[in-house]
Amino acid sequence: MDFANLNVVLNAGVILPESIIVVSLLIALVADLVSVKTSKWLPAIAISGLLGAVTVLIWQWTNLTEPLAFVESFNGDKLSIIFRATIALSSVLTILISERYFLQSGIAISEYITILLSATLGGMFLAGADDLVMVFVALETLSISSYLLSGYAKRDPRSNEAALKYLLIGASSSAVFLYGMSLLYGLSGGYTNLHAIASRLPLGGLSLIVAMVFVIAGISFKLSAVPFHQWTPDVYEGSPTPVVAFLSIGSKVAGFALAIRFMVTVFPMVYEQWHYVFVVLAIFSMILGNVVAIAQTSMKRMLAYSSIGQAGFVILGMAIGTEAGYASMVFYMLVYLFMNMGAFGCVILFSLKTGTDQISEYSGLYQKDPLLTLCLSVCLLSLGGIPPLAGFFGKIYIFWAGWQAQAYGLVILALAMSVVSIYYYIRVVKMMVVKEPQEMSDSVKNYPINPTWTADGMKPLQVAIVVTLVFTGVAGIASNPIFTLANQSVHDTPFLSASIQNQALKVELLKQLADQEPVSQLPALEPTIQE
Amino acid sequence: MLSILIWLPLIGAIFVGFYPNLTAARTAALAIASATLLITLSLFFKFDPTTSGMQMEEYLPWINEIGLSYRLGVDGLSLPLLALNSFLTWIVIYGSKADIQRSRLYYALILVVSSVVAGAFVAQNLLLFILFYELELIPIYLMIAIWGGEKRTYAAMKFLIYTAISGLLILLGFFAITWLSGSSGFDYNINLEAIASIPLPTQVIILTVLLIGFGIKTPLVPLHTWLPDVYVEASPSVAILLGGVLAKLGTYGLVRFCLQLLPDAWSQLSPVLGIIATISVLYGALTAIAQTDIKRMVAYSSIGHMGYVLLACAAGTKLSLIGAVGQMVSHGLILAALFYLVGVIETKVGTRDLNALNGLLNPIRGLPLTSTLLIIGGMASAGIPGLVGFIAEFLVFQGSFTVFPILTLLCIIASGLTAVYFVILLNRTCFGKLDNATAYYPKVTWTEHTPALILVALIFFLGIQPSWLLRWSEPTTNAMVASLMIDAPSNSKIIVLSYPEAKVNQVLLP
Repeated sequence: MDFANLNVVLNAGVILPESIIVVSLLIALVADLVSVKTSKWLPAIAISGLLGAVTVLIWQWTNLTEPLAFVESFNGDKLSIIFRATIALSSVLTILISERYFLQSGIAISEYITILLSATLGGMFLAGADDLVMVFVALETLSISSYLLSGYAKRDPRSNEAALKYLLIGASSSAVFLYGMSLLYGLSGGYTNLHAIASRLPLGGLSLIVAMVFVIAGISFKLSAVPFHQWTPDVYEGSPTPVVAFLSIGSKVAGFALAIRFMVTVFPMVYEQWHYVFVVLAIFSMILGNVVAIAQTSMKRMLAYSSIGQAGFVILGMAIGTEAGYASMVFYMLVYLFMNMGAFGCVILFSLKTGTDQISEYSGLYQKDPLLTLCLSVCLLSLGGIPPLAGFFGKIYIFWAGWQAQAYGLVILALAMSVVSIYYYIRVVKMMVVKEPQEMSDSVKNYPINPTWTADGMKPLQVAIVVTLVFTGVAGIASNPIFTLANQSVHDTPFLSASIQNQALKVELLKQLADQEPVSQLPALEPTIQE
Repeated sequence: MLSILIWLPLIGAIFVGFYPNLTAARTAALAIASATLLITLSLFFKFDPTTSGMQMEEYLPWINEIGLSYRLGVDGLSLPLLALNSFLTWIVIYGSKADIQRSRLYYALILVVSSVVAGAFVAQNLLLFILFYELELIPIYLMIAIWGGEKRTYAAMKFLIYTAISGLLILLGFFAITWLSGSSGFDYNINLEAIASIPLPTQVIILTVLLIGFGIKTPLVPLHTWLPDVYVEASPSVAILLGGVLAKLGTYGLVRFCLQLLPDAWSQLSPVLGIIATISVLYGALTAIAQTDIKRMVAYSSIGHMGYVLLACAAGTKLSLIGAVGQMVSHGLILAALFYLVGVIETKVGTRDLNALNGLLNPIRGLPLTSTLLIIGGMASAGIPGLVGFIAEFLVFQGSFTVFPILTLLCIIASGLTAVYFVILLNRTCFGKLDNATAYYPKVTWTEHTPALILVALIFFLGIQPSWLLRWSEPTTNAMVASLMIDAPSNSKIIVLSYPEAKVNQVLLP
């Protein structure tokens, strides 16, 4: 087979963005070896690779005619494009905020960059994976890189503890996920492609339910949805802060991409069941994440719990299962990327200057650092859903989608929980803005000028903070393009729109039948609709 | 035109807050507030007081996916409130000191609140209203928490939580109305037929949710518990904004989104609402009598006066609804005057305790002019004829009497009780013998007097010439009454007496 034919079969152009990142990863590896001088350029190499990937993804948005690649094991549809772009962007911002952090902690950044790029690659492949093997390899690339990242501050015992905890729980959850996949492989009679499996699975039965539960357990670990969240606070607290930023955004986005693709494609037969499980996950995550966040005294832990709560809102969008529901999910992830990354950028800046992340140490900050105060306030208020910031529109979209899907109870709960979240976000804002000069904390009193914005590695941090601030502030008011993007990504993705149509049809048929026949006859209908 | 009312203060706030090395924050803010006030007043010339619908509408599509659009409009209900907002903002800025702590943030926040409240009054899209309603949360929170009294953090948090919950309930109510009436967006083009087709029990539930939401903001008993703490802990100028302007968001919401959108359910619930209103009025008056802190007394009086508005709305006659609009404005003016004067007394004398205050009317060593103005403010609040408070209360009582005779009588009694506590207040603070040993009060300057003088002059003027206050709203409120009557013909227990136009005019313009 010559090269041209091979390429027709493989359709390798779909993974051009990932290839660019691989190339930049290799260049980074080599550049580190060449000399000390070149290793200074590592972040720039990585960022240009990632931005190149994003550019290609933008081009692919309109110009990709055949999204299936590598014998249908990778899917480059619009949903995967938007998720991959989000992951790549989160990686860009992570690199921007981490340069100074590692410089100041005296840890070499070179391996960090390569591991982070591998994690990004894993996440991006996961977002488009359409095959069990592909899913698992991508998931493990992401996971193993994440374990390494969380233990990257190797002289810090807490970082080590975090890495070990993460590794142990992560490995077992991978095992559970793998077991679920092996069941699917067996039940379908030896297929690994998700669509092939879906068409050959039995229509119900205990084994299918067990497989579904195991798969959900594995995915929920990545989403850190309650009750699979226990690792989150400890890992977030111990890991280097930039890594936490990546884990709470990039890794979660990949998890959501996997969740949508896997659940919707493979489990249409047990649609009600898996939706039910996700509703439960959403309820638990929203309640536990938001309520426990109130009690935190450490900023990183608070953000950890708040990220659990935020994941709950996003899962709500998924549990609704309508077009608006999925679109609101995509929209929220995009917005969440910037507001959460902004918050982490500010936390890093504060800890660089003062060496602490206790919430009480933020008191009176407005006098010493107005920009930091403004940016952190805006990002936190946006996370809390205060208009006219981006988070408000994201939340309204999810809630309105939920209301339209008649999930009244869920929406009411989510609204109540967003009031709770306002409470703990405003606590930080209060510390920074409201406290009088005499109530200033010791770390703020001795707030150093150094590192100034001109110091090594501070410019990228400044860029990241300003970009996230501007986006969080403006994206809400000018959110029409993002809404269009989110809607298109759902509407133009075949497997998703087919599932939505099927469900709508099913509901309608059930309604018609309910008018004509007694309810006991209904189950007989299911097989005819599945095709 | 309406957009200017939102954007001018907002841009002004950004200018005051962020312009490098700005020293004269108060002057800049005052200039912006004056410009806004002039533009608001110019609206009165453009406004056509003979029609009932929305005027000066503006429309821009915004986000179709969630049914949000930028649709503004003004009618006879919102116009007086807009004017009240711009006017009180001006008063508050004028009445604040230039050297207040963190002055730039302070004046920027006041301008933001002014812009946001104007936005809420002109928003003709339910989500846009919610957006403005929630937007006011953080600035007010900061204003209470930074420039408040001793327990300010507690009070600010209480305000935040209550208002956030009220926002949540209102949002739920709007979701329900929009979804059940089958409209695709949240635009407020009153599709009453679609809403009326919602089953009545569901409508009643939606109305209850909305009522609780707006009731927290207004506030109505038993949702008022945040009010005394917040009004007392907030600095006088913030209290003016809270009581004079923001509380009107609650009553405005009651009329605009409860009465106007759900007239059927409103007629069903109106006896209950009348009772709640009466309880509010009595509760406010009785608890105010028991207070020894003059600011707290004024705060409780506010609960009572907001009760009149609900009573009038529940009665839903032509006369009572005009009275409700009048009461909203007059309450805003009177409360602003009272809070302002209480603030002056507190800074000059150093206490708000009724047992410590005495003889301020003393022409030489007391605060004679301040006391005089306080007496007039108290009289206006108690509903003495010739002042604007009388006009509003009289219209409310006369309009409601035909529908709720007993409740109205109780409210009239409560209005007598209002006189009781103001007599107590004035007697203790203004009259009596000044303690010569301690009375070395700094003089009140003319600049400090000006806001109160203007407010009192307006209270007098509108009391003598009420048509200047009421003629804008008459067609709008009449149309509301008409919709109440059309949609609640037989099953309603209220007998709506339609006053002929001539008679309304006769009452208004003797």
